[in-house]
Amino acid sequence: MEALSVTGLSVTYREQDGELHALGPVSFQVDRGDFLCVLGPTGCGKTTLLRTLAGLEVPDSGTVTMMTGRGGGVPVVGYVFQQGALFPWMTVRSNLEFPLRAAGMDRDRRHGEVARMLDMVGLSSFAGSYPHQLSGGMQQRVALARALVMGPDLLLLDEPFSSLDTRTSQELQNSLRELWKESSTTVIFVTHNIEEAVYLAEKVIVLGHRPGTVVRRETIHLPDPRSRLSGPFTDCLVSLRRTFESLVLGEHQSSTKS
Amino acid sequence: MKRTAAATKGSLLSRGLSGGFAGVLQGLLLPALLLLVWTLSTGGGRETLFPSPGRVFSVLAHPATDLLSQGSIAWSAFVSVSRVMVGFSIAVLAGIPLGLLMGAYGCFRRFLSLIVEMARPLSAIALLPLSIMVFRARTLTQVLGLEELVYRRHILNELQLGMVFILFWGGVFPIILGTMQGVRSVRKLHLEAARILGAGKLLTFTRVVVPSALPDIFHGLRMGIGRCWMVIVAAEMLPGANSGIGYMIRYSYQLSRYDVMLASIMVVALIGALFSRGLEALGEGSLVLRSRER
Repeated sequence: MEALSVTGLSVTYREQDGELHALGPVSFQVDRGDFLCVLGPTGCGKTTLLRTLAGLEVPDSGTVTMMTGRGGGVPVVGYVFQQGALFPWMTVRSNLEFPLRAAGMDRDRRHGEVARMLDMVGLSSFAGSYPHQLSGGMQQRVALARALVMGPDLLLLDEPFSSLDTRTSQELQNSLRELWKESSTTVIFVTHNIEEAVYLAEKVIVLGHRPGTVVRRETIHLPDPRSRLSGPFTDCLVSLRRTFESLVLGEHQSSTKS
Repeated sequence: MKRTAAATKGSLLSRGLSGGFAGVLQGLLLPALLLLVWTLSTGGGRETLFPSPGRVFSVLAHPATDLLSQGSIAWSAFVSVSRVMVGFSIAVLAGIPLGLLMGAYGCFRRFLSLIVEMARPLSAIALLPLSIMVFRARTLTQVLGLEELVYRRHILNELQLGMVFILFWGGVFPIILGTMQGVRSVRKLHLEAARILGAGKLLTFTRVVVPSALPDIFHGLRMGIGRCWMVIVAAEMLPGANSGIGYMIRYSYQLSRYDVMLASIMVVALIGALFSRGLEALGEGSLVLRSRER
């Protein structure tokens, strides 16, 4: 069953010095409970795509159709920004409480939910810390927890681990994959890192240069637990890299010539 | 970039102490030197026009003693501080809501900005005659209807509406502008995060906009109280005033009691610094949090 269906979505930014056609038209579908990676070069409009899905940008054409939420109403959408979106004046606990407060949950239930979520991401002992007291990796872990604490139907992540070092980034990828396996959440993850996409995703769509359109759809057939050192993983990685370079970099070369 | 919570706390503390004991000594060096020069240039038992530190400090050492039959230094300072407290409080009560509205809504900003821009550079002292013309000599005693109850030397009798008004004027603009600046400089990312997390307008305002504007609001408050203090001392030196620390400076000058004059000036400096430091300490927490964000 489809969780999300995007048809002919196109976004143009209008500024004082003219227009910038940032994205599209793009069309794709995501199944309920699926993990989709949107892979694309810098500036292809993948962040714009995610922001549009979250309602932060208004498309100039196209439609986005979302499933109903588990409660039967509007679906709950979680969003993880690249970095720095935690509220620095709030403790980790208050940051996680914020969406629950917004949903009108009472104090006792909020505390229960936050404690459960912190335990799940292994941050219970940092509940009283402020974001600036945490490392970059832990901050993004908190950001992930804040997006998940509402139990979202759809989780959107915008290169959330791109500012971290490789090891920390891989640790967080492992956690995200595990959290996703245990939940029924549909995930859309934007990245320019091919290995990250192969490790995390069930499906991958590749966007070309700006204005980005879907140039390729791939399915990653790798069993769990995924190992970055296994033969099938490297095969898959090499094949996707080859695709990416021929489609995206090739396109780039031809476009710079003209 | 891994930092433990304990290490961060340590650096915060040492930053607050600004270098510890050695730092305090460094800070005291120049004042001590100036005191020495002052002592040497007025010492040796010679009667100089400029009073010696000993004479000035003996005035300061007895702040409750009646001076020049105009009340004590402590009373004069209390009168000035009370005036500032009343005027500044009204400025805060008006300035913060106005600043919040002007920061949050473009229509409010456009509606008020011309008036604020014109009124801001207008010295509060320039308005004193107008203020006295409008408010006459009315004091808080009369406003509160307490003429029967308060005795002559009661603080309420010293709180003239004209003074309160110019203090309000002196304090309100830095507060408005600081608050507005704070609201306008809220990071877009935080507003978007709040929106995605499902926060409505009220929650976004109280939990996101106001906390992130707090450092600028405190900055405005500091500027405001500093200006109030300058305004009141100047206003009390003008004809018509007959109480307050500014009046004490002028009156002691007229009677050539330069020891009292210098002691009063020192009290003015000290209280001004205390006001500023007090608000700084209050605002420190919010400043630290926002400046540390990544």
